[in-house]
Amino acid sequence: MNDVLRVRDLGVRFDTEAGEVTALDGLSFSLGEREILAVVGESGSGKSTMAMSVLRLLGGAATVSGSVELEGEDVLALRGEELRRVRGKRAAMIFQEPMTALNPLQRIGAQIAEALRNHDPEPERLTQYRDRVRELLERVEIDDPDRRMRQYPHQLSGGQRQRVLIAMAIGCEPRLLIADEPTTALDVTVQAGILDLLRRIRDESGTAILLITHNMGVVADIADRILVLRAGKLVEQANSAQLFAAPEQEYTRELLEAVPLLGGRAEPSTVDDNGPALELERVTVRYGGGVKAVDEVSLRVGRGELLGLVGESGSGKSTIGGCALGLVRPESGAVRLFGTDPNRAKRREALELRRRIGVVFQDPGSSLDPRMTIGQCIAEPLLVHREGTKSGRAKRIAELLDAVELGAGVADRFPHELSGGQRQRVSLARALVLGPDLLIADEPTSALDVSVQATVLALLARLHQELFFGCLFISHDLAVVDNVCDRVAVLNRGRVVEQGERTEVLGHPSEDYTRRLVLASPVPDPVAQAERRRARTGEA
Amino acid sequence: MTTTETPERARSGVLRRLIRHRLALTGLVILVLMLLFSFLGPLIYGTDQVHTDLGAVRLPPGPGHPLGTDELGHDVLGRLMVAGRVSLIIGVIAGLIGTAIGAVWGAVAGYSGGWLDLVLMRIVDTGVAIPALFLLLVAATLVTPSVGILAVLIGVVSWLVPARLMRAETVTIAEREYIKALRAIGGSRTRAVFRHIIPNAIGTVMVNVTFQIADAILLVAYVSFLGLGVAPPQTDWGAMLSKGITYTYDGAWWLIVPPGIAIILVVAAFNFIGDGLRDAFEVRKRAAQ
Amino acid sequence: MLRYLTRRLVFAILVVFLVTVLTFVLLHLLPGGPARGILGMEATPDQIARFNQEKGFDQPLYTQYWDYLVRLLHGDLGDSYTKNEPVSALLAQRLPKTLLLTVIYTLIGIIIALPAGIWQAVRRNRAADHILTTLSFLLYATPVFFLSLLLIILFSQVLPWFPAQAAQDESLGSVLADPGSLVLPIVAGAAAVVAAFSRYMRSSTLDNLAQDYVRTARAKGTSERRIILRHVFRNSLTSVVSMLGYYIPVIFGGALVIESMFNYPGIGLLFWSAAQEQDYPVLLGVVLLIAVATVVGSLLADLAQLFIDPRVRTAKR
Repeated sequence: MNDVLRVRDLGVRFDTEAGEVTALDGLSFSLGEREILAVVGESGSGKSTMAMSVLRLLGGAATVSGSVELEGEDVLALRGEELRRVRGKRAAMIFQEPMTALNPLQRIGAQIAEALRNHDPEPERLTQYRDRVRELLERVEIDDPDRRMRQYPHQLSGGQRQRVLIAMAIGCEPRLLIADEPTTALDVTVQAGILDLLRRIRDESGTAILLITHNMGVVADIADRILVLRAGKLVEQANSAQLFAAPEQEYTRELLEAVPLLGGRAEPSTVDDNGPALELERVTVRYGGGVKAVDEVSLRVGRGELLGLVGESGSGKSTIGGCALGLVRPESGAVRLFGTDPNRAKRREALELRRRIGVVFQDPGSSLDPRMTIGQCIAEPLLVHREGTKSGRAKRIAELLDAVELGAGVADRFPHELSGGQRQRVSLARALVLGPDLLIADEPTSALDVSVQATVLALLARLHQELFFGCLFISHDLAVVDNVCDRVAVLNRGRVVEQGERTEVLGHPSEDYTRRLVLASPVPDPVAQAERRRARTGEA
Repeated sequence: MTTTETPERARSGVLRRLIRHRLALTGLVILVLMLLFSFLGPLIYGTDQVHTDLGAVRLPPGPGHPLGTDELGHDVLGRLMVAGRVSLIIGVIAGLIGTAIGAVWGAVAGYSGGWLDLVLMRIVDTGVAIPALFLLLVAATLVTPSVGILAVLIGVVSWLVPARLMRAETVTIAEREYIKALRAIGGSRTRAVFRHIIPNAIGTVMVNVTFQIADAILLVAYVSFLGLGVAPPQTDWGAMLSKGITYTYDGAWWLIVPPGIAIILVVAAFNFIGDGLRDAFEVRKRAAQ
Repeated sequence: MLRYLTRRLVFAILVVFLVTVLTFVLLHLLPGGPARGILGMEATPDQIARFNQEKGFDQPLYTQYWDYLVRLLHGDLGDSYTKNEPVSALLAQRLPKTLLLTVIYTLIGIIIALPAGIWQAVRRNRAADHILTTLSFLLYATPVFFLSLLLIILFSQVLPWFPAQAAQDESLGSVLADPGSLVLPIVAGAAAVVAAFSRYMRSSTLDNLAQDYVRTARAKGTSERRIILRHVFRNSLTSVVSMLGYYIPVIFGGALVIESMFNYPGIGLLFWSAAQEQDYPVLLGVVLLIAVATVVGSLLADLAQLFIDPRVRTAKR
């Protein structure tokens, strides 16, 4: 077999403050021509480290051992100029963050031309590569290539930027394309387009693709073969169909089971109307006098009801959350908490309304004050509303830490001592400490690994059963919303396109936008995924 | 990766990294030596720095006077010690005052936002546009500068840089989700600034204090050089230098070089420490992410 | 972009206005006001009253300020108490010399500082970086007057290469005719600029070297040399440029010391002698000039930013 990449006994160690840390250990695999190999794993599995080590982009703190053969040549033995000649020419790379991966001060055209010039035997001025740059932009299906070439990265959308990076990568026709989480920062509809493009590049040029991802749906969509990594070690290696149908290892099975399924919960939800918790009536928000971020949005979250608010980036879903929390003032329309508009209420009354809401945000890294203990973090709402005695508060904190399954013991620890999932549990405890009637959860699990996400979502469901709060659950992930919520509202460019019962909206969408969104959300099943792709591309 | 550092260990971690930072360690050693020299030195090496001795004017270094004498017959080595006290006290107090004013100003501006931020920051812009020396000049005609007054004056004119720094830091911290969570449940501004923003900006502020002290010591030297320093018989390194300049052409190098080197050493020491502190805090910030 | 520029311009004017208010009030806080300054401590109350009446100093403060502002808008900065000349004429005569000196030493300083800072960043934590960092710290810690003094002792006295004094003529031509006299002041000034900016450039370059776009450039096979020159340098420059705008008062502070050390007849020396003679109109004139220069400087820095950084150009419409 004609292997493009052959990795043998790859090990990577990092020299850190805390001593030496092993990131990869004894990893061996190979990748043939025309093959798409997906490397999956959760954070800390070493999958990105592996991707970086193929082109030796890890920097001075890393010690790499073993061998990485690219078309028969050991990359690890190359030095200086030899190494430079390999990068971008024999193997090229696409990165996760298209926002920061391009030089903000240089035109798109020049950045692509530089990739060509780097490997041209007779380097000329960048402007002389114009025709080839245009061809490349056409190949990655960017509209109006002549104009785009003259633009700067910030003038392009995330998806366009990722296409530019791909154009840059395929410019010298490398035999191997390494894509490190290429769609993680993108919306699902954009993601589908990028995956189609990668597949087409493989089909047309026979390029081998090493795809690093944490998303099982993406894997099911595109991969021929899969490597599962965990803590720097290989867990399992199998063909795509086989791995999804019959995983051999326990860890792989757990990983697959943790992935929320769109349409996985068949029975429709029924919630009695117990009066409103949150109402938005024709709310419009405009930032800095510019375009409307939110345009005449009306929503209602009943007491004890879970409303899922889904939308892609820039749809205005977080702005709506901000309105509900009083962080954003609407230009027009009314926001009512339990029937009263806090923006129009007296100070005392508004404070009383705020007392009845809790909030959980997305980023476990910044949702807790790093200088406070876990106990202090959870106690803060009590202090703000001057509730309880010192011992009463301590008791309440212990109760809540038990409720979020962390145990009272962590009260004296600091946020940086906890993992991301544990921190989100603490956020949840803080949100619930005042016994709220309404919970606003803004992408509460988006930054977590799937296995952790599954446990946090299970916890949320349990607490909701017990405490029966109304909840506005904001998310970009249809599958998560489908698993958690009773009703769903779909947001597109600041407008609600569709809202209603969960199985109705997500199962039988009546609007075109919702249908596209549902079809673009990848499911972790290669067979179903192939069907959906047909439905999607057939439709387009 | 999760670390299992307790805050105590984290704090000593900053100290440990500071000591491992070669430049910062050098700075610490120099600073301690200069403090001992200025504050304990006179107890061991007693000299008369009040009365003039016109019989021993501008003696070159030699027995009895290791660094010679000045134009009024004071022993230069002994004078270097008492002048050091003045320079260090003024520098440290002024640095602390400037940072304290600036930190509160910047935090309030950054967290309030809106028109208050606008007004507060335009005042900072105005302050930047007026040379500090001019303000000190006006102040010097109003009051006779003593050590205390000079420290306060220099502190009051040097709050601008920390104010800008603190504002930028505050704006960053105010975007964090724990502040949003606090606002959402109705937490007050005071609570946000004093319980969250200032404690979290403390690293930046501490780094700034060291640079601020260094700059204040330099400013004291400039002020004295312009003849606006403390009144005789008190003196500081800047004043010693300024007096010495008159005799440059007579080859009296011992009147100039020792105070000059003293200033350089102390100012550089504070800068070394500040640089090390910044590195140490940055490492921790990265670890926290 | 136009909106952004207008906004900046309004702020700039506001700041200049605030400066005039502040300086005016400060000067009238002085015991006895300007009269004491001119007539001296021996003046009788009678003399002071007459002087105040003549000059309008007995009017309420806001009337006086209004008059001052009106005259200011006509370009009238008042007359020097001691030099028998309008302040504006004095400034016009001295300004070119100061500009000549400061522009030259700032440029030279930056031309040295930028590559030095980059070089340090590239060789981070190696011997060369440690040595240069230590040196720039030491240079930063050296008071400009001490450095000037050392230069005079070494290169004017011990080795009589350059004069320690500038030409004392009024015209710019005479300064230019004797370029040797500019060498030592320029060296002293440039050293201070190098000390401040090389450190800044070093940390700015280090920040940029850690950015994702550098990794992208490496991954496509760009040479390290090209990465530094084509990518990192320009990105680092944006922060240095905005720093330059704020640096103008510092540069002037340096000029004040350097001009008095080398007896160079510029704005700094004018300020220095006015301070000693308590010539308030001149002091006020110089302060205003610096304030305007600072404000214009940061405006220019913002404009430069518009040219360097396309994000600013399109984002702040």
